[in-house]
Amino acid sequence: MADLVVDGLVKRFGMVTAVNNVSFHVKDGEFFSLLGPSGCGKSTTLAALAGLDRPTEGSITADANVLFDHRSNRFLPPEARNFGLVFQSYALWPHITVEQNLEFPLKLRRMPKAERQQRIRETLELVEMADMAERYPHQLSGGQQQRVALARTLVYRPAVLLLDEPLSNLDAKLRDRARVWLSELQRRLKITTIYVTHDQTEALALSDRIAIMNKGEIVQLGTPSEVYERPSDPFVADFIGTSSFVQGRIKDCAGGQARIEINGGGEIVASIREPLPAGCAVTVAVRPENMRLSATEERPSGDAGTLLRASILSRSYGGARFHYLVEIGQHTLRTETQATFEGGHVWVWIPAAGALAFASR
Amino acid sequence: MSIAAADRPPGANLVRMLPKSPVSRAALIQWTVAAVTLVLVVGPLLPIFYQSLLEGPLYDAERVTSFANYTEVFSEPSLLQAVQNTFTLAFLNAFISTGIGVGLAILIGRTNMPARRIFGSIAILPIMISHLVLAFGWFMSYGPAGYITMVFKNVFHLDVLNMYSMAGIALILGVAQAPLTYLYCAGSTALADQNLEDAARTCGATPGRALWAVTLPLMMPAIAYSAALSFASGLETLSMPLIFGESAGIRFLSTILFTQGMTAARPNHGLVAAIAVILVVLGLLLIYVQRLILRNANRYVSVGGKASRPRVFDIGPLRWVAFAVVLAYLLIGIIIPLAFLTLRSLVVFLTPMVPFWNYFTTRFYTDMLSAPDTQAAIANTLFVAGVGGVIAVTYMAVLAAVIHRSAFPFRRQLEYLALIPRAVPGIVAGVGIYYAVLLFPSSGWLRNTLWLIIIAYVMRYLPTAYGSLSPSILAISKDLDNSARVMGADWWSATYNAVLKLVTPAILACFTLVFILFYKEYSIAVYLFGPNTEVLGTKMLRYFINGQMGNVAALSVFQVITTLILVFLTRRLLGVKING
Repeated sequence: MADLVVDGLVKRFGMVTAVNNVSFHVKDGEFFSLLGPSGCGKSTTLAALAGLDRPTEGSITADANVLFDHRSNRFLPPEARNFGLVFQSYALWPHITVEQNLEFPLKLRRMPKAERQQRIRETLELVEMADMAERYPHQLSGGQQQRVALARTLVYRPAVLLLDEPLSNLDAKLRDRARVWLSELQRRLKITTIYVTHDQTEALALSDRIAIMNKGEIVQLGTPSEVYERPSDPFVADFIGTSSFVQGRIKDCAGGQARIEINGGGEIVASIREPLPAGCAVTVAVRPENMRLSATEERPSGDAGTLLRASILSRSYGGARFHYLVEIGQHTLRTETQATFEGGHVWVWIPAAGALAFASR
Repeated sequence: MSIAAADRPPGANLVRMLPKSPVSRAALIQWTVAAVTLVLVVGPLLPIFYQSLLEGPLYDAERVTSFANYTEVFSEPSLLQAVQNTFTLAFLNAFISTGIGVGLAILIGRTNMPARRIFGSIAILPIMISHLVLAFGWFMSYGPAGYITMVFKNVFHLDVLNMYSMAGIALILGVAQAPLTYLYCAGSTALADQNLEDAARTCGATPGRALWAVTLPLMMPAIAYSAALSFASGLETLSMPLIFGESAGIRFLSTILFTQGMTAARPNHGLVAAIAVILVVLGLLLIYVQRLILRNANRYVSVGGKASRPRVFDIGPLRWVAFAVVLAYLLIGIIIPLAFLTLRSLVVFLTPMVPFWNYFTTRFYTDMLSAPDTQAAIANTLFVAGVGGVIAVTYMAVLAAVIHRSAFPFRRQLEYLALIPRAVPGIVAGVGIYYAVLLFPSSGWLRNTLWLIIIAYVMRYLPTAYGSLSPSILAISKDLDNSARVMGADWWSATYNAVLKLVTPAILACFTLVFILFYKEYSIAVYLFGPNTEVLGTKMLRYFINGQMGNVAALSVFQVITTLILVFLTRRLLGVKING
């Protein structure tokens, strides 16, 4: 149970800066995700929190305890932090049984045998693995191993739970169930949790707040709906949901919306986060699910938005819906719909609320 | 749910109170291991270097430094001849053992030659047998008074090859060294991608052509590496030059070291040390060459992903020719010498003139088991191999863990340090420990104890044992010990519970390897054994020098049989296989 404060964390490997000035504050009992593509520094940050890697600069504090501070040259080794870390590989010790795996951290804490067994039984029941105590890790399925790995971490009641892509080794169906289960468990235990993942769906479904990382830095930090609905830059817009982008220049703006001249012809109305001067180069991000496709030129009444004529480049079947790749001028957009369209052209409706304009850098 | 947050004392389990001590257990273990390794490796080498620059012996009160010893080696004609002989033998050995080893690897590993599996297990026998024992076997079969020699001389009036010659010594050393080359090359063909040969076959190459144009070139790194290894063993070998060269006046650097240490009344320590330094420097150069070979080996590495069983080439009727050649080689090189060695241990006198059963005796065996000095030699050898082996493997496992699994600041340097003894011939390791005890009087209590011999053995075989342990430790995911660390285990607890316990099979295999190496070793002990600390090998050598061939044969047979029993037992009980 702890507030975790990370301040100005930097980790360099030789000339490479893997983590650059990362700061965040995880509140007691919060489910906090670090989300980003591989190589964005999220795992390095997690290793620094666990104490497996010594950061180059910054500080890490849990409640009143300084775990790392480069100014005072303080660095607590992992064993002194009382954190729990579930590895992507689960890291179950293959030479001992499930029960012995759970017993190891309790033995380290010199817990009496009776209490140890009590605690192991409770924890295995918590993860619904009580009847597997005598098994060896290789006798378990992937999903069961993942539960045991979590149980081995929870059994000693760590102050902070660190999860390193714990679901990524499960198949798609199992992953969905494990996600729901993990979410319920965390809310019940109210344990401060930091979750590292590259899967936006997991992060959105589980987290209280998400820190999106790119190239060693946090690019946006907010609740799932904030980062989804109001991405701070094109990278986030593209990473959370798969946006298509249109380049253009501001004509004029008013009331949080702007008219934009599309490079190569045409005009689009989009939302803006802050007023931008006319002529400013912008990138407009549009999500597939925000666009409406129709065979005829029909404009929904009431809403502000843009109707554009597009040519269909390709169509692919995705189960519940079709994915169309359409071309507007020199831009290619990814769209999706349940309808089928024959022929080469289609009308695309882009509501102003579903198009976000960012000043190009 | 009792595990739930509400039940917990607030904040009670944040930041564990660890026992406070000025030095952590991890640092203590890591620095101790590093210090022991430094003393173990540098301890014997520095005194040799120092002695090589002294005109008088190390223990003289008056010490004059000069290069006189080195100039002596390169100006005194008999010594210069020994240098030349040593190099000639090293080259010949590299050629012969590589030729035999590569031939065996291809014929046994890749063709449909009959009986190739049995041949394979006989061919690697010399690895488990002391070179000394093999040399005795050859001596009793093909030596000037050997059984086969006598048969040819008296029955067919023919002279077989004179073993008391450079060619004879190189031949037997080549046979003794060939199994290592065979294992290296067989290992490399097993790893090669089968598709590469198939590709050659599909574009029209005959099996022989594919073998010649694809398989053999792919073996080049293994061949070059084992040739360098054979060259090095040719430089340092003692048994063959001693048994076949000494009485014919063919002298080598290693035999000079031996006679100075074992038989000379007043050894010329300056000369001994200078020769030792020369051998070590040559050894270091060879290690460097081997590293270069391995670095450029990528061109030949073909990673196919899955390990496929190499396909067998059909060589048609030629396979019977191959069968005959390999059978003859195994008979002449290994089976006949071991057979006559065994026979010799059971007769008072061995000659083709009289049927051997007329002279049958078990005297040599009753002698061996009842005489106090042979009893002591056997007990000593078992102690050195058993107790020394346990100490050595324990230390080496911790060393490997420090090098591969710790944040010890000098772990890279520590690994280089641990590999240096590869350049140190066995007898030189003995010389070095001997000088170290002379130079540091505080270690005098070690003199004439088995501990001194154990220390020297551990030093010499450090790289071998480390090399056998390293890959299995590296194969364990770092997540396993990291997760123990996060759970609250300190470095040692995490490494012991999550790494070392997991590689128990590898540690047992390493122990068997070390036991066998220690059990058959003798050259290291030449400078170190005292009245009560003889080992099997030195005892055999003394019997040999005194001409007591029956006793030599009985002890040799004893050593071979006990070794084979041990290998068999470990394979059965522990499922552990020892290769090389």
